[in-house]
Amino acid sequence: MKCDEIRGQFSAYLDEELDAQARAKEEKHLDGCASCHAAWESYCALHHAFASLELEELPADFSANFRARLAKERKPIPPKKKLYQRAWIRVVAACACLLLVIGLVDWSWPSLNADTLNNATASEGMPTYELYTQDDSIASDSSAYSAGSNDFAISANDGEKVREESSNLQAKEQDMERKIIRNWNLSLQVADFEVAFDALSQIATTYGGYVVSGESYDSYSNAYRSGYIRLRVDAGQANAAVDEIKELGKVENQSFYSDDVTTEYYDAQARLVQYEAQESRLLALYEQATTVEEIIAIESELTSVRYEIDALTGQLKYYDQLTQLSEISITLYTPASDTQSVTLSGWSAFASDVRAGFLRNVNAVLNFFLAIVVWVLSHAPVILLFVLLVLVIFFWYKKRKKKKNKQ
Amino acid sequence: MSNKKDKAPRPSRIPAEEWDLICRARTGDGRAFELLIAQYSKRIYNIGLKMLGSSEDAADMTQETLLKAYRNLPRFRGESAFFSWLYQIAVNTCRDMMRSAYRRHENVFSDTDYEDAYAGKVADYAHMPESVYTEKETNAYLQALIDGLTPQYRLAVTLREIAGLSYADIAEVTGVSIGTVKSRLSRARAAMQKQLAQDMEQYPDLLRLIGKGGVKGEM
Repeated sequence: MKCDEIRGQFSAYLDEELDAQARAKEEKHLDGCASCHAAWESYCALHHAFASLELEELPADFSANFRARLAKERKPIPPKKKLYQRAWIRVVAACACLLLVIGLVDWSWPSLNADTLNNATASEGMPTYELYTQDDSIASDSSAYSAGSNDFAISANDGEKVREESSNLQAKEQDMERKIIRNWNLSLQVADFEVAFDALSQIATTYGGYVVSGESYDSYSNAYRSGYIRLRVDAGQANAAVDEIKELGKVENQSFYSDDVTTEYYDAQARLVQYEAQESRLLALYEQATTVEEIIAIESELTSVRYEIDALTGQLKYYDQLTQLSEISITLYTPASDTQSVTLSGWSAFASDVRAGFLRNVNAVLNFFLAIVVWVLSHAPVILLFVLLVLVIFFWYKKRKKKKNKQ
Repeated sequence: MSNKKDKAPRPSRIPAEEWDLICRARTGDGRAFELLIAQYSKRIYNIGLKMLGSSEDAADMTQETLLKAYRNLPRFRGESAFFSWLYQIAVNTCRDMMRSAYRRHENVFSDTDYEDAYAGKVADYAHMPESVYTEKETNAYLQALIDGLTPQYRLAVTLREIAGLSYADIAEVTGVSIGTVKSRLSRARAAMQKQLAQDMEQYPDLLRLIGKGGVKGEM
């Protein structure tokens, strides 16, 4: 039994492919077992016979033939990259994926596209949002007027008593002249800078005002000339003045803002009346004063009251000035003749198209990935089953191949 | 001449001199290729002789193998030793030729039939030609012993005894495990020993051919 085992290892022992332990076992047995030793000797004989064989020489004409054959060969071609490694395949695959994604997105979310398209057309109709709101602010000129009364109307909801109070106040307010500071900002593109400048000064005087400041400068590249002019015109005629200014060139930008100082104005006025009353009382007291202490005390009181009166008077004067004359700031541009021809009329439409499209596609991509996640999660049982099936087939195939190889 | 690909870094398993020849041969340098395969072509030819039996087929096989190696040289990345790669090509070429020879002979067209024809068999010495005994030539007799083995066993014995490869190299070249190589060699040798013992009884002259130890005892 043991001998069979030993003889079974002869082949590996002969080729020196046994590990140290097995080899030692082999050697020990062969030393002790005469029959196995004899078998071993004869086993080696065949190997020695093979070893003693000289390798046969190649046919004499082989080398020459091969050289001639090799000469006919073309230069070895570098290996073609596997299909998925080739650049064009990758590009095509990427394009296909992209198309698929776009197709899927368009197909799956038609409502979304409709929404965003509506947005796009809406913004196309109104190329620049800024201009849109500015127009709005000018249109709401009158709403700015009634800002104060709006406040009252809101608080009126609180109760009957408040309503009464507010209506009183409203009545009172109506008696009073509203004090509103109104300012305009305009950007104009004009053909001739000097002419426009003169015309603006003319307008200022025509509408009962004056030029506050004016400056002009050339751009760094001399591409255009620009200037900044501030006018003051009579508040009542300001709208007419602005309309006339707009005639001077192409309006690129305009804004209007107003500041309602009615409350502050009448507050100051009321306080002035109080202080003036206090002053006259103090003066009456002053007449009656007898002691030095009394005189000094009253004088110091008078000084502080007069200080307040001066400050309030100054504030009221300032408000009067501001509300009587509206300020109009005008920025003037004169494009250089060579750049004047460049007009990008389609630019804003183009930009908004790009913007709308970009937003739409970002949304679409996000939704697509969300959909993939949903799909994968919802199909998880099916996917799991499929993976299992593939694995089973794969291992079965591998086993079969191995079996075949063993044969 | 200096293509970036040719200057590929040398894989650690390939000696510098050999790698240099490989790089040159890749660019179409036939002389470098001849130097590269000089030490292997004779062995490949002898593998062919044992596997295919005829010197004509063996020479064809050798040329085919070398040409294939030349064409595919750019694909050789040094993941195995160069000789191992070359023998793999040789073995595949042998297999193809044996298959087509088998098909011609048996008029059978499927490879599966070819494999099945030898399934479970180690050797078949029923057709040993008489001449091998009478010619009194060691080589002829040994060739006959190998010829009697079925292809897988013949390949293992050839690669071990003729090409002198280690078990690990044989495993790499033939694409099977080392354990399989070990058992195939063991079984093939047992079959050859058995046949040898039988033949010796009939033709005592063989003792002289096979050498000193002689063949005694039962296997």
